[in-house]
Amino acid sequence: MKILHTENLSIGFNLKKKSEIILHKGINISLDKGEFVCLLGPNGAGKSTLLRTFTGFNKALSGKVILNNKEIRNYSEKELAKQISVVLTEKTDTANITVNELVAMGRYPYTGFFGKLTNDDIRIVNESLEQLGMAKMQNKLCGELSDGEAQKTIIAKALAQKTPIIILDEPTAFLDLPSRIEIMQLLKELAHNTGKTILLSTHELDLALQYADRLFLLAQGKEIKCGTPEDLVLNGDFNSFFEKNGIEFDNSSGNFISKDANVKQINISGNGIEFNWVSKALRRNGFIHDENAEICVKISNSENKKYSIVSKNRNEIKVDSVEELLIELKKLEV
Amino acid sequence: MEINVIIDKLKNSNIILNLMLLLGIILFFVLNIAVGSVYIPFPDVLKILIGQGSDNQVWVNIILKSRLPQTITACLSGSGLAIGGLLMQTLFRNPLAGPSILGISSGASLGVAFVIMFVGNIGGFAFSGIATIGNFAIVFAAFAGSVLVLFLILFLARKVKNNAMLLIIGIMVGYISSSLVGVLQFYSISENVHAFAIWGLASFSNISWIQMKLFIPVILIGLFFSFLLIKPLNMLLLGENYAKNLGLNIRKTRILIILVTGILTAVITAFCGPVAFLGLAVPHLARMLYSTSNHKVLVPGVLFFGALLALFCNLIARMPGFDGALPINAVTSMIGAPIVISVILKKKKLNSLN
Repeated sequence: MKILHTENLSIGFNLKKKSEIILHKGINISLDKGEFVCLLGPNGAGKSTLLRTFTGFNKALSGKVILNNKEIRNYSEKELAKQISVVLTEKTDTANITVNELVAMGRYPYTGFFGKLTNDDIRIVNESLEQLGMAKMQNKLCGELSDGEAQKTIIAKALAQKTPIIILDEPTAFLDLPSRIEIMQLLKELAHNTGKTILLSTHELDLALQYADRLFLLAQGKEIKCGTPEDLVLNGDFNSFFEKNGIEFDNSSGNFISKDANVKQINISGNGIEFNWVSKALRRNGFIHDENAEICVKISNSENKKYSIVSKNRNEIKVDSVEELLIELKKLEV
Repeated sequence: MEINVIIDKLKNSNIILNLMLLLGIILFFVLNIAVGSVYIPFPDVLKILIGQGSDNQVWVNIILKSRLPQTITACLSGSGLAIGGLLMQTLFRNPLAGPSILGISSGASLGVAFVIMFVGNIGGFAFSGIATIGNFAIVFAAFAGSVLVLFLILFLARKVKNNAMLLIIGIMVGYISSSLVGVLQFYSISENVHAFAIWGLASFSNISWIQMKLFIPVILIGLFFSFLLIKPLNMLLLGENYAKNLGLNIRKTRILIILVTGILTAVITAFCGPVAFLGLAVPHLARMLYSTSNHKVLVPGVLFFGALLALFCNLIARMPGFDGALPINAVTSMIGAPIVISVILKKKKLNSLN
């Protein structure tokens, strides 16, 4: 069920001297209810501009953005405040207000003159704090928070706004890895369990591939591509968007690898988890798998001396760890 | 709730601080009326205030026609300027902003300079010699100058995209006004230059009761509107994008804030001259004392604190021993700056605006 869609949308900047900079035109994309979508693309692609056009901060250069059958520009600020909430990377002047006060501002579209909170409002604020794990710190001043806690507070505010759509611009930018995973997990659950539509832009490609229902791929000079992460990987779109000199996306491992100039052939045989990780270590050191290579690395199932290097004219070398394996390979000057 | 919980709540809330402020205001209000270069016994002061009058007509005049209006003016001006400063600091996200940042006091100065020095020059007389007509002309000129600048700023506020532009324009107006005033001063006779300088040092004592009938309601209305601005001001703390996303109409709010500050500043400057320091310092003091940027606390806090500080400065200015009264600006900066410095030093955590 489409909740927001665009019709021939053109985004960019409107300079005062009647000239425009068009970043992308003819965009026709949509967001469904209860979807978690990630917007990916290299720097300068226009991700922030697209998000700002959705939130009404930027005017569309041409075309329409339609929310619930009504164009975004026909919504008043108050109406839009109850439909879309945002999380940005901007700095705020909120060092001297408490976490609770900041999250409570998420209720402002619903409160009266002085911003007085009803019991319902207070309950919603507390729920939002709980969901982000900030309830214990709610009386701390925002200036005393770490970057990650501050970001979680802003996200809690967006939750308190109780909008059907939440748009986030690089929300995991300041977080450590566990917190990033936490946030992605939380947002996915919000989408799937409570039916919110979440659109976020990020540089965390692996997290996006893992958690998003769909991806939007955006790059300068290229038409926007949408689809499930797996489809975009398998049909090569993912690779073409992120390919750069010497770097390509390896479809099988789901990682980016640099195309080394000097590669050495080596035959890797074995199975299980060890096979994957030894392959990674070898790849890092410039070895790629080739069945016909002279040197062979074998991974066995025995308890001791799992890894062995077998080569013509030399004795089999057996080692315990990947580190020793690499040292021995270097010694062989392969 | 248990007693301990109640006591804890009281300690953490601002009730005690606000009560102390209120008591302080009442104390200084009474002192301002009771103390002065002419000694009047306290019981007589009370009798005259209640309306019972006194045998000594001179005392009655002093209390009712001089000290009382002066005290009320100080109180309201302190609040008005402090609120203006708070509004400007939040709107422009600039800790160095004060109510004069829009150039409104500069406009008033230019108007007054024009009347005192230019007109006086043309007429070939010392304007300082004319009492009541002069006073009215000065008030009118100050107000006209302020309002002209205010209109200019409001006009531009609708066109200009971001607030930094407005700030710069206000500062530029200040510079233009200062240079024109300098030129006027250069060509004027010394009595007029002196009269203008004295005006520039500000005073709460130049308002008559007739003028109070205009002054009091306008200030009270301005202060009332500042309460209505509490929610928008809080939203502006988040920055314009978040505020817009929460439903705030940025343009309307900007205009309203400028209008409230402009009118408060224009009226106070017209009747009292350009009072320095209060508008800039009181919001910072309040932020430090209340340890918050929440305008629900700051707006009333700044209101009370501004009144208190103005009353205090006015008292010092009029202490017996100074022949007549010191002009206000001489006192506000001298007293105010050390207070701000001492509060900064006492507070271990610096609560900055940024």
